[in-house]
Formats: sequence, structure tokens, C-alpha cells
Amino acid sequence: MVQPEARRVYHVARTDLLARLRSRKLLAFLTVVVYFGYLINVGVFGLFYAVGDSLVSGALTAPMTGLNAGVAGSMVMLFGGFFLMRGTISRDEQHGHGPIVAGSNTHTSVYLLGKLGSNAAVGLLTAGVLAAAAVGNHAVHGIGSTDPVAITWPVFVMVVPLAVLVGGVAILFETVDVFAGTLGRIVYLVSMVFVVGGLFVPSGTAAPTDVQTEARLFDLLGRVLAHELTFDAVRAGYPAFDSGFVSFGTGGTLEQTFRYEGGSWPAWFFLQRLACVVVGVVLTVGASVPFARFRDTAPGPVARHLPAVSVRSMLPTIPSLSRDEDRSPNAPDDRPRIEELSLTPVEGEQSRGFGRLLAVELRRLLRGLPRWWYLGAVALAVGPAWLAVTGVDSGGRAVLLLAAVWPLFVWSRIGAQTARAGIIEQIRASRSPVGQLFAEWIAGCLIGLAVTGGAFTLLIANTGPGVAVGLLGTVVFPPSLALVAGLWTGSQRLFEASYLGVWYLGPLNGAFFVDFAGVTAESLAAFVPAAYAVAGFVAVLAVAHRRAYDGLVG
Amino acid sequence: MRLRLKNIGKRYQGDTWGVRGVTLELDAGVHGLVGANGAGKSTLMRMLTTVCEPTEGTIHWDGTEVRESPEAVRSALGYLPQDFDTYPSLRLQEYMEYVGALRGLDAETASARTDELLRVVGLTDVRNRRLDTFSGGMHQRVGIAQALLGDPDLLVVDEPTVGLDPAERVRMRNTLADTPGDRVVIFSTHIVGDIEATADTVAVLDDGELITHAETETLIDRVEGRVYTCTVSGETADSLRERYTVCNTVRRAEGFELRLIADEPPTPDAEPVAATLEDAYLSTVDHGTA
Repeated sequence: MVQPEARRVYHVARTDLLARLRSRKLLAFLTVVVYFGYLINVGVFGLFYAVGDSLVSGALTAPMTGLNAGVAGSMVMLFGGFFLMRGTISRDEQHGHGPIVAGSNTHTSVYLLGKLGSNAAVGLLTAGVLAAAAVGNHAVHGIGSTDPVAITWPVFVMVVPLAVLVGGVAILFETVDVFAGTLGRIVYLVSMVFVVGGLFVPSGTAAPTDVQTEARLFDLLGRVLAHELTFDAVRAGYPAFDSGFVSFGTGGTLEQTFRYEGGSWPAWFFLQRLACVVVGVVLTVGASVPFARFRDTAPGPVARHLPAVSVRSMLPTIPSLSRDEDRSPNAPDDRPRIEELSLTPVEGEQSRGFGRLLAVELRRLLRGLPRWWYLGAVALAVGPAWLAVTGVDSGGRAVLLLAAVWPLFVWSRIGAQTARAGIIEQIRASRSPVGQLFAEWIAGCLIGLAVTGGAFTLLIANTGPGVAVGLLGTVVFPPSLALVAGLWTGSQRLFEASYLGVWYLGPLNGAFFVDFAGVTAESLAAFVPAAYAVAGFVAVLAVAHRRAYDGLVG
Repeated sequence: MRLRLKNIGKRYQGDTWGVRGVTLELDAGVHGLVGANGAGKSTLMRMLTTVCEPTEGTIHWDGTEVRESPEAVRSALGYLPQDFDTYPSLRLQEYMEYVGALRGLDAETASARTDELLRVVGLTDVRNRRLDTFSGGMHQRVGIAQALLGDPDLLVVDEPTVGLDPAERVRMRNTLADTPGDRVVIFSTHIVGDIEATADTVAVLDDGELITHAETETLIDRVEGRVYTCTVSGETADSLRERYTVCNTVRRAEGFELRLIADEPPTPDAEPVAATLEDAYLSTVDHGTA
């Protein structure tokens, strides 16, 4: 019994992986991974400590490079891997393969485990590429001999189990309707920000022995591990160092370094990574409970035209569309023949008002969202303005952070929905192919303006008109990115992943060069939001030019 | 009004052609475009509708070169693509308003024509339902309605009867054929019966090339008197398949009943039958010409 099931898991995983290997998305992801392999070997990115007024990084020995690469790989997998791994089930649904699987005798959990196998293989691939890039770059930029084993094994031990965990979460989210879309992506990102960035990270810790158990348990990034491994090396180099937790990012330099030459890893980390694998498998098997084995509402013309064979479609609670048709008083025999009607003529030059196009695009973007979204949008639009009027002088930044991400549900529809083959063809063949593009984009800008305008009103009231430049970036940049990414890929995932990444690094964490919203003073001083707005607008103009003069794309 | 294609081609990488050397002149009327899957029907239609550019040749609509002035054809066009899709969150009424705006209709005209066309396609009662709740057949009827919304002079419909039940299929093809007014209707399908029932002329595409373009009756006349049926043993059936274009095979208790095209009766007891467009089409693609 086990062998045939294992064979099914293998083939589901293999097929899914082959489909991924031939997509641009995985290639783009691996390119980013290779770039990380470079960054950690030139001291731009890595583990560092604050010692007094200085930031001290690890000298680029082979074990240090391996550790840096492991943590970098964990970060990439944790934040980027989720977006890469999502969509494995919907891909089957959209391409009409879903009903074939649904109609087979393959058990749901076997199917999902196959998908997890594919996700794990992506983890292996990621670790392999990152390790190879780290080894290669260490040979050029590193210190001491390049020991491939010392660099490689930490990457695999840290990244692959995490890929299983993230892959399991991605599968679970995809099978639960409420988390299958944009909301799921936001929930995941925010959860990871809390887990990795604050909730379980020790602060002001002195010795590794002081680290609490939950910090080790939730050490998904590997910072607690790195702290334990390198703490003594820092103390050896800097006797004055007696407290502080290791950081990971772009803060460190190689001007002052500590030297980590490797050492035995604590047993708890191996157990924790093993637990990641177990949890990933459990989540995947558990996902077979909410999984409706191919939804009958799957998008795409192929799925729609295929007979519904899903379990859900057989439930009596689902209204029968054919019954609806039968109930219609316009059943075939009652319908007029077209030659019997006197159709209203379309005479002369009709109105080509851009306003109507804009209105229908606005309605299209806003239609069909959950009620809580509308309530939240109204609260974000009106609430801060009311606070400004009543003289409240705090909270503007927090409101802006939320307001900058709230319209994501709407912006995600820009470009991606339009790029679906049967829709883009109608638009390109219409009288307003370029007008539609600008109407869609402006509608996205207007919605952004409505949702974030309140936060800016509060900020302007409290800190002066200088922050208004942030409004430019917040309103123009996201819909521009959505339009370009959506039309290019035909999916909202690239936009959501890149936008959330920029939002996380810039407005949330204060990296001023990606702070398109002008939350930081440095960003405002350097007119970063204006630069993002201009870049976004130029990108939209390029897409419009292409739609007007070139082939189908865009 | 006239659509004129001169030596149109679509070349992909290397020497791969989607469509090659197609020259056609289409006046007002219903024109069928038939061919096997992958014959180039959809590629040709996408070029006619400005959705993709030809790599060779020219297309003229009423004397205007389409590549130089795509607006000329877009302002006259109604189009139902093969992979017709909609925005799922919109209601039918909203979607029709959207298409009206895209087509440049004023609100009153769009509203009036929407009412009329939804009656024709039998979707009046579901006009306030979201499109993602529609069945495949209903979805296809939406496609027909939106294609007719702008009262197009050039109506291009790619596989419009896919997903429709037989009765609805007949109704839809009649709607396309009977639409009042002078217009060029180009109707692509691989269901030859739909073309036979509606089209004034038929263009046959095979492997990206135009094999023939003729009036439907002319095409049928080319095989008239050469279509036979006969009932034979399995061994004889194999032999006949090698020598003639066999249009249909039915297994009977007494053997195999074949419908085939031959210059002379293929067996002593073969009976001549009336030719259909399907016979003419199969003969055409089998021999390169009927």
C-alpha cells in the first residue's frame, strides 16, 4: 500500500516541480538568491553586533560565510518562499487539470503531500543555489581557505526544513478560502514580521544561556543560533562587549570584525528544524480537511467550461446554475429572435468620455470585496481627518503604515485581472485600449488617495506640509507597480510580494531609500517618495506606449 | 464595407508560422472560417481584430490599412475571442456598461442595446448576478451579447458555440446570421455544421495556409455526386480507407457502414447520397483542394 502512494506523491511533486522550473518566477527568485550569495561575501549583508558605538561584523571566514548564508537563506525562504510556493493548487485549477485529479482515486492528503514534496524540492534548490553562490563568492572575497563543506552544510540544515514548514503553511492557506487570496498574504507577512522581528527575539540579552526557550523554539531565522555560536568570538575580540543581541541585515561593515572559526552547533537547533519539518507535514495533511478538492468557482475559461466534478459541486447547498436557467422566464422559447427586434441603432460619433471609463474601472476595482474591507477603508479615510480636526497629535505614522497596505486588495486587481487572455483581447480590440489602461491606473491612484489621504491630513496637521510629498509616492507608486507587474505576469503575486517587501523594508523598518511613503525624515529630505512616483509614472507611460504601438503584451 | 487581407502571415521564431500567405476579400455577409485545431483560425482572427500584429502582408478595412490606423477597424468591431473571459466580481449589467464604455457608446445607447441584447440571449433575469456564478453556456451568451453591443460593422466571433447545448447552439448561430444590417461577420469554428447552416462563404485553413475560399454551395457542389455510402466487411473497410476520403464510419451488425468520397461507386452496392459541407471540407483538407 505504501509504495503506490509514495509513487503518487513522487509524481505529483515531480510534475509540479517541472512546471515551476519552466516558469520565470522561480528563475527570478533564484536570481535574488544568487545576489544574496554575493552580498554576504562583500560585507553588505550579514550578522553584526553593536559594540559600544560601533557595529561589528563577522570576518568572512568560511564558517562565518556559511552561517551568514544560512540566515540569509532562511530570511529569503521565510519571506519570499511563501509567495513563491503559493499557487501550486490554483495552478492545477486554472489549467483545467484540477478536475482530473479530483476525479481520480488519489487521496487528497497524498495529493497535497506531493505538492509539499515540490515545495521541499524548491527549498533544496534554493539552498543549493545559495550555497554554490556563497562558495564561489567566498573564493573571491572571503578570508582564509574556502571550505565548501563549512559553507554549504549550514545552508542546507537551516533552509530546507524551513522550506517544508513554509511550504506547509502555503498549502494550508491555499486550501482555506478566507486565506487563499490577498488577506492570506498579508496575514502571513504580518505574522512573520512579529515572529521574526519582535515577539520572540530577546532584547538586551547578555549571555546565550539567558535566552528563553520560546526564543529558540521560534528561531526561524536562526539569529538565536547565530548569537549562541558567535557570542564568545565577539567577547574574545572585544572584551568590553557584555550585552547585546546579534542583528542581521545591512547595518554592519567589515571595518571592525570579530573572527568566528566555527564550532559545534547546539542540539536544540537540530530538534527545532526537525520540528519545522514535522509541523510542515502536519499542516499539509491537516489542509486536506478544508480542501474542497478543486473549487467549482475556479477562475479561467478552461475551468469554467469543464464539467464540475468537485466534491463541493455535489453538495446540495450549491445552487444549480442549470436550474436557474430553467427558472428564467427568458427560457429559450420565450426569447425574441434578433431579427424580430428593432435594435437601437448606434449612430454617428458616440461619446468617448474618459470619465465613464474611469467610473467603470473604479467600480470594477471596488466591487466584491468583503465588508470589513470597506469599513476599514472608510475608517482610515475619515478617522485620521477627524483626529486632526479634534487636535490629536499622535498616531499619524501608525495610521499611515496601515493605510499604505489596506488598498492592497484593490491594487492587486490592477493589471493582473486585465491580463487574463480573454479580457486583454477585448480591450485591445476596443476603441480605448490606452484609455482603459490609464483609467485603470488612475482608479487605483484615486482609491489610494482616498484611503491614505486621512493619514496624511493628520501628519500634515501635526508635522507640517513637508510630509505631503509622501502622499505622492503612496498614491502613485503602488498602482503603477501593480499595473506593470500584473500585466507582465498575469498574476497579482509579483506585485504583492514586491510591494509588501518594499513596505516592510521602507515605511515599516525605516530604510529610507525604499521609503516611498515618506515615513522617515531622510526619505522626505531626499524626495524619495517623489522619485518613486516619477518612476511609477514613467513605467505606466512605457506600458501605455507598448499597448498603443506594439503587440499583445500590456 | 469590405475586409481585404493581402498575403497575411504571422511568423514566430525561426521558420514557424501561425498563418502564412493568406489573401482574402470579404464583403458584407456571414463568412465561415473552418480548419482543424491549430490550423491558424484564432491567429488570423487576432490579426483581424488588431490584437496581434501580422509579420507579413496587409489588412485593409474599407480601404484603410489597419496596421497604420487600427482605430479604423476598432471603431467598427465586435469581437468574441476564443478564450472569452470577464471580470468575475462584476455583475452582468455592470460588465455590459463596461464594454459599452470601452466601445465608446454613450450611456443611453449602451443601456438600450444592453436591454435588447440580453433579451435576445435570454439573460435579462440574471443581469444583476455576478459573472462568476454563471455557467459555461451563460458565459458564452454574455460573450455574444457584448460582441453585438456596439452594432459592429465587422463582427468577429471565434468558436462562439463552444460550451453551448445543441438547442442553444442553433439559437446562437442564428443570432449571428440573422443580425439585421449590412455587416461582415466572420465566424470561426471546427463544427462544420454550424458554418453550413449560416455562412455565405467558407474559407478553409490548414496548417496556417488558406486552402480554399468559396461560397458554401459552390464548395458543396464540388463533391456533389461523389459522396457514397456502403456497408462492407472490416477487411474491405480498411482497403477503402486507403483509397478514398472516408467521412464517417458506423459499426453495424452486418459490417461497417462507410460514408466516403469517390469519383466512381467504390463498391457495387454503394449508394450515392447528398453531399454536405463536412464532406466538402474533408475532401478539401485531404487533397489540398476539392
